[in-house]
Amino acid sequence: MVPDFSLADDIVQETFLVVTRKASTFELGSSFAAWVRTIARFKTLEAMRARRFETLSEEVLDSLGTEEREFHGETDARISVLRSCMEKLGPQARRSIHLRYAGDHLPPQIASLMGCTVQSVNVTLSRARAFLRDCVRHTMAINPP
Amino acid sequence: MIDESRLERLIDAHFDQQLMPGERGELEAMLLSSSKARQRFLERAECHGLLREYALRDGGGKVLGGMETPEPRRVRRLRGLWIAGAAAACLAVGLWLVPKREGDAGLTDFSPVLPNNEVALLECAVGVEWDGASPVPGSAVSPGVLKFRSGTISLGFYSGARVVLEGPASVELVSVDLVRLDYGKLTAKVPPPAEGFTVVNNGLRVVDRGTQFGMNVSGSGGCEVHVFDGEVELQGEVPASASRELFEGDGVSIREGRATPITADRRSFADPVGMLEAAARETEEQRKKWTESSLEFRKAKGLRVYFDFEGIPAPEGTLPNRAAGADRDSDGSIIGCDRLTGRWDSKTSLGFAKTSDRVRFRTQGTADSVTLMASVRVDSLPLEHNSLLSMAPGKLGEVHWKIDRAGRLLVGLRAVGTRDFKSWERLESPPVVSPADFGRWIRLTTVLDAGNGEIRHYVNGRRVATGPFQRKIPIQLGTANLGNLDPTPYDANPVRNFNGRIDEFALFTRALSDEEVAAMP
Repeated sequence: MVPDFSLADDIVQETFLVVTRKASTFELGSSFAAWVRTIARFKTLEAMRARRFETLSEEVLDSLGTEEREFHGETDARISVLRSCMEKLGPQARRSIHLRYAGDHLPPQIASLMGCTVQSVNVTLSRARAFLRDCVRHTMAINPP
Repeated sequence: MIDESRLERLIDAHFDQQLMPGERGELEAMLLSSSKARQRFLERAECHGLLREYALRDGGGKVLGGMETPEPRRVRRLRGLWIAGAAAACLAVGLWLVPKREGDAGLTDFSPVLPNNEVALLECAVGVEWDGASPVPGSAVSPGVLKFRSGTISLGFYSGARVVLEGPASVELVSVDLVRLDYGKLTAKVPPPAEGFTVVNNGLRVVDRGTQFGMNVSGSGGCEVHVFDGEVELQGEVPASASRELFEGDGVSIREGRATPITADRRSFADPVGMLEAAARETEEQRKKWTESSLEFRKAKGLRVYFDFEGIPAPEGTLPNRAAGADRDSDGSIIGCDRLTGRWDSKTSLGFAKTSDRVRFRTQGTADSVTLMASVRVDSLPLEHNSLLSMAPGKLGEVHWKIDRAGRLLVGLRAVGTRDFKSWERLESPPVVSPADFGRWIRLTTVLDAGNGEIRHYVNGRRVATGPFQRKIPIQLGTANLGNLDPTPYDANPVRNFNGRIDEFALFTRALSDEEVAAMP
């Protein structure tokens, strides 16, 4: 929910520290995931209140949090599929994705690096992501790990 | 009803931090009113997270050969934490990392990465103090940031452009024809095939139109462009007062959005000739140091064979064994082999390419332990076995020392008379020579250590593999081939010649320690 990579890194790190520090207070038999999620949610709200960033409202975050959803495991397999899908992208799209996710650049910076408009970077990123999503989903479906 | 395409656009804008204030409210309303919209949002969040995770794994040092990923806005590497403790937290916070199996943290980094995205060759680096990643001169560089506090580097871009950069400097190589200069002094020489080569600084784009130019970006944000030859074009955020086209002798200084014309000053930038001279002085220094320590090395305890590949008398082709403890008549006989330059231009080496190329020599007796060292330049690994040395072929106690097709360093000692795989005491290193290493000089060392019951491999003095040495049979000295193998009738792969150069070789009849291996010249 926190779109800024380094801020989310911070929140994860803070959460991790709290989890480590308070590990002894965790009650066996309760859900570890839920416990960590509570701490993470608290840390996120804390950061939001400190006005360190803007994201969606608490109400929306809560509604997203209660949404039933099955998360995919198999991260390694999905990443290796993603790697092969990445090769099918055109050079322009691949460069945009690389700048966005490895370089942590935002569309305006990507636009100036690539010499095109912010508008066209937005379109390129959206199309590339849609392609990659479909490609990963399709490949995982026909060739499960 | 939700406008699907509008929703998609807003979600993408959210994750790229491009939402306008009004749009945020619109997205929130959609999410609150529709479970379908929330599902869509979570799906996109997961994709966003997977891409970030992928980039952190693939974008690091492995892909870039030791370089950083292209200039993250803040360099953070918290992947370990993401994986170790935060799987559940991600669900609430960022959703970038889908839950991961326990226990495999850190073990997923070894997917083979091919050097397919290189953009330039680091031609030379003089007096460079790197800040962060420190690529080796002669190696190819992939897109990413190069940063150094002092010194000068020269980059040959695959587009044909040649860039000299003086530190302190920070530059991002984006592609074969695009560079982003954060700060530092840059000189670009752009031949016609590389026309269009572009340097970006903030919003300013300096596009080369077949020329030579210099660009100086100081820490305080000022930027100067000097045209030494030809023409450059300024694009992007150019102050209105500045000319968009600059010709030979022209220059412009841009500071706080204001442009001042200046005269191009070639002398304020690094002189490529001076740089080559400095690089030559640096290598000559290394060469001198090597010559001195090599003279001392001849007297090392247990050294039985030492070929320094210096002063090879042409054309009869004898390679003198310079070890103080050399056996009589143990000089090497050169068969074939071109005389080529070694790791420095002033050093000689022998080139091995033909199936006949080899240096044949003979020592006497047996040894419990041996240490083998060779300074080699691997040019290719076309064969299953690329032989560095074979000694006493066909006999019990024979030694094979080689690199396989995958770049692994191997040693084998025949421990029993039968002819199968199990008859060898052997150690195989992980791949130590990749295609990116072809054409570069490395020092390989292998120790068969009977005293400690250990076999060890080293690359450039650093231990890379250790294995047991169980069946301690005497190691057979005798007739040996450097860079080749005398096939026996039992050999399934009789062609095993080495492809590359050798400019130093040593054989000790004792096991050298880690420290001794690291200290060799």
